[in-house]
Amino acid sequence: MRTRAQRWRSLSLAAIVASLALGVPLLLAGCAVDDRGPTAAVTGGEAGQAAEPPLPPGSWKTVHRSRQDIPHGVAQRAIWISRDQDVIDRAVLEFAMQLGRRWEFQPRQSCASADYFSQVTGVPTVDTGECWHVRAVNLGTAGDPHPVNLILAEFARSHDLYLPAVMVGVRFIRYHEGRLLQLDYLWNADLLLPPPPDRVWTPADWSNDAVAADPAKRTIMRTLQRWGQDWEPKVAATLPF
Amino acid sequence: MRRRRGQARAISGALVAAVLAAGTVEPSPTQAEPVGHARQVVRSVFGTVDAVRRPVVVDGDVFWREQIETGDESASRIVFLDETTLSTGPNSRVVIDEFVYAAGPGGGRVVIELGRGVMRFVSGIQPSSTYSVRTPNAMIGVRGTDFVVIVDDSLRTSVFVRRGAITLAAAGGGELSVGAGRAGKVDAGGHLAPGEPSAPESQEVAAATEITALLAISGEADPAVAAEAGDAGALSARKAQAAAARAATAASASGAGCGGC
Repeated sequence: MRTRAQRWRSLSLAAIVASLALGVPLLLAGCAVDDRGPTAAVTGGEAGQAAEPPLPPGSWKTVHRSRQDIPHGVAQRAIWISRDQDVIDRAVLEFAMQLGRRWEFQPRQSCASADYFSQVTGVPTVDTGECWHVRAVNLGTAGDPHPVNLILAEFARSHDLYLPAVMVGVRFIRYHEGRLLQLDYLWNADLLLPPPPDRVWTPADWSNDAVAADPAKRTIMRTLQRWGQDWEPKVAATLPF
Repeated sequence: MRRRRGQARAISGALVAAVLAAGTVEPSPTQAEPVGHARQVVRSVFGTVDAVRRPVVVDGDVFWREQIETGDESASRIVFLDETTLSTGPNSRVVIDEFVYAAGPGGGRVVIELGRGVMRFVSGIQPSSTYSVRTPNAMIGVRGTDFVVIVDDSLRTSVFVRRGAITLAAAGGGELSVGAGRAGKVDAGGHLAPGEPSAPESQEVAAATEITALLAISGEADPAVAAEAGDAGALSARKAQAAAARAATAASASGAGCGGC
């Protein structure tokens, strides 16, 4: 006859196995979505459709939209960009997952990182959580890049647009009862602060140390922080709990 | 030839004469003709003309002699009839002191007064000599297109030229030419700072950046900023530099996160 502790250990082991079984496909799903949807122009505003994220003011073009069945659910990815002449000035990245009723998200580790300029985390529970943070985003394509970087690079190349090597912005993450919503709102760092002559900003120029050493970069990140505070209720309305 | 402020002045003059003859008060601001409109408003921005204070709203008119004030973490971008762009940063106060839009040589005149705070000025389609910016202790003559002016709490005036050139005349005497990428200062006593023009101080760049960031992040991009990135044939070079930088950078490098991770 098993003791209570033994039963608890068995349950814990089962939970770990289940988490791994769920987590590995989800991780893969997050990196394997690369089918190209048709491009379309949309107008940003506060009143997004039910399943659509809120887009900031301006004209937005959908450059990618995909939906993929994954074990126990569905993963969706979408990318929007706005342009000013031949320059990509902003981008919005969406990654969403919907799992079956029996499957729930674990509190996400990506809610906290020393690499973020600032981070705000709500108290996570087993099936509900939220966080958002201000960060620089590396759009590098060397090595084994994320599909999003490749999609953006290919779109910029095929449309002859100026896509920077680094963007800065705010990421919001919310999950609740098998639904996950991750939204990145990004700005072209080269436009917010002109880089030195004859060069462009690279991700290393926007590391936390580099930001701390430059009052202008700190100003930009603080402005993003304030924008994130203002924008968070709109994201919350997209996935309420 | 278009003389919007000239017309406004003529109308106002006739009204004032009529009002004085009738022994009543001056015309209300609603009788003034607009000289531009607000293209962007971030948070708290108010305009005051003829002692009437009102919130400045996007696409709302802006009038001659109007005082524009911004609050904390606030900014505005005003586009005038002659396509001049005036952006103001947080806790700033500007007055549209004069605005005459007239095609042809010697016709127009635009004077903006910055009482405190920070503003960015991109001149419009009138001749450069049309434009000037006044601060408590300096007068800035425009010989180019794009510059930032800061009047700090101690009333020191700093000018940081992004494109083109300006002349900085100190109230206490002396004048200085400042070219692109350089800065000049006039101290609170109205004297040119020694050793100017110089490279802008980091705090001056930060003040200029705050206007750009507030407007670009809270609204749409400032066209002047994109133009700065793209003009003079620099766009294709920048594009190539950015593409090369992306191709040379592993997405996992540095502390920055990747686009989708």
